[in-house]
Amino acid sequence: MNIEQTVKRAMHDVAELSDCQLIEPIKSDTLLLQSGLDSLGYAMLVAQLEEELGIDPFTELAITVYPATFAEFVAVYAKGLEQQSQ
Amino acid sequence: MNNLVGLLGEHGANANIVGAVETYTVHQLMVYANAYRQTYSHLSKQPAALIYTNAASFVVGMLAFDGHCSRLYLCSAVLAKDLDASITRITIDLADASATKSPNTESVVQSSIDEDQKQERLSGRVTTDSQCSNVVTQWYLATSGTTGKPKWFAHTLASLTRNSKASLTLGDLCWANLYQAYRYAGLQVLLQVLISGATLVDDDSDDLLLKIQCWVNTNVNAISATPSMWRQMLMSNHLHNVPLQRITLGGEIVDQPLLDKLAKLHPTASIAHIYASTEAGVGFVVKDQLAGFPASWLQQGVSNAQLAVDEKQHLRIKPKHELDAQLDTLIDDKGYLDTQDIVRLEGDRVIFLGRASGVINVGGNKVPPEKVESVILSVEGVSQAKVYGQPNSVLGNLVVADIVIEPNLEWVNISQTIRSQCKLFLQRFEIPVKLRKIDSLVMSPTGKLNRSDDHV
Repeated sequence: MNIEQTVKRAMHDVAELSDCQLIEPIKSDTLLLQSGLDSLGYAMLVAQLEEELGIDPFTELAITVYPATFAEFVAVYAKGLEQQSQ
Repeated sequence: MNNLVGLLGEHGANANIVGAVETYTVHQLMVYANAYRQTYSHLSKQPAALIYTNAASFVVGMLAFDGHCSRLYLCSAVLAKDLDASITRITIDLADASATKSPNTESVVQSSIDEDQKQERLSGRVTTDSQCSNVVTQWYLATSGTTGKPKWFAHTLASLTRNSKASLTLGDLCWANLYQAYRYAGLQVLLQVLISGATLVDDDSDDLLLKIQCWVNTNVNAISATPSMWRQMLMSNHLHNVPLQRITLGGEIVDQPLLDKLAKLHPTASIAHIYASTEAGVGFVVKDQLAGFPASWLQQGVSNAQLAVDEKQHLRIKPKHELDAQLDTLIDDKGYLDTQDIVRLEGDRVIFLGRASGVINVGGNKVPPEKVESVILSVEGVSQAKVYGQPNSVLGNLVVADIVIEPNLEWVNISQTIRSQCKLFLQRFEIPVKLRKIDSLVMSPTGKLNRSDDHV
């Protein structure tokens, strides 16, 4: 499973757990704030991805700009994993 | 002693509240307040509870009942249920025309408004008959206790406005309203707006992108929010469109990366993080854009208080005003209050680490672990439960639970029941995001759960 699929599946899991209604389909340019997850949902998503991928890029990277779209969110994790493997 | 009306008169304040439908000047709100005070003249020197609907209406109630009632409980409709039934509940909603249509209210409010408007035209400003009242109203704000049941703490207008400042620059600010004013942080923003003659934009949208658009349209240039709210605003990627001059953070521990991001996005804005305690009604402001506060303050004190760190690494604070008598057990013989905030000295900074009581701060919402534990322990088959906060980069902390179940029972079934019970009895942010089955829990020698051990 690639990172994009991992994130998407985790979003679905978290939406179910946190009683959020995820919009369908989630596309690259879907704005995170309009994806259906609220801030609690995002907090849970970041926690779940940390368990699965072993990183929390929001604390481990010096991110200067927060991701606004789904593609940017995935890119932050891709970059985090890349840095981890170096 | 001045009441709120007198205090605003002293500052010549001319604040505006931009509501969802209408914009109100503070003078218009005083006219309404005068009418409400007359309608409720029987509440003179009696307690009352003011229920929040929106900022402008709340200001009317604050102006009407400060200096009139003996005690004024600021609350939401939910919090009001906690109060003694004998306390009169007052809901004012200027946006809802029907709110002024009860028979005795309508005539009094209307006639009083007519009379005051005549007065206003004659004198050029609104005056009220109780500008300098003899009643010093005790303002009550709620904070969640260890069981989740609200605890009410008394304040005075003098203690609540000690940090409020007025100047020409502050009067030009236009604040967004992200808090509701029955909470300490929200009340601080509202009082600052009123005293400095600034503007408050009270939009009622739940959608952050719409909110930000509204702030752009209404020239908002000052925002006070929790670190979690700021992170969410940064995620919107639209915050740079809001020409911020003043950024205030409070309600949670402020971390350095967040301060750096905000400074980079708004290099000309003044950035302040506020440490405040609802119980003590005291706060101090850190403006050097560094996390924590300067260690030198432990010797010098801050404007309104002396600070100290005790042997348990708890921050202690000694404000100049008298503290609520309920706090007596937390005050040492030198008058220092145990804030229950754990701090650590790092070089020349004092850094906040969390709450000694174990209260979990989820994006500014305080979750007493005991409240969640009691729900989990009510599930048949659960023998022990321990709830604590797991650090999270989005909301500061998330709630997780370690659970011991009775032997020979199925974890899958029990965990499902726990989840459904939690959904029934807890608010969303209080529900553990993770349930961990463990074999045993460490207890202290007194038989209490050990809340100080590590969970990582």
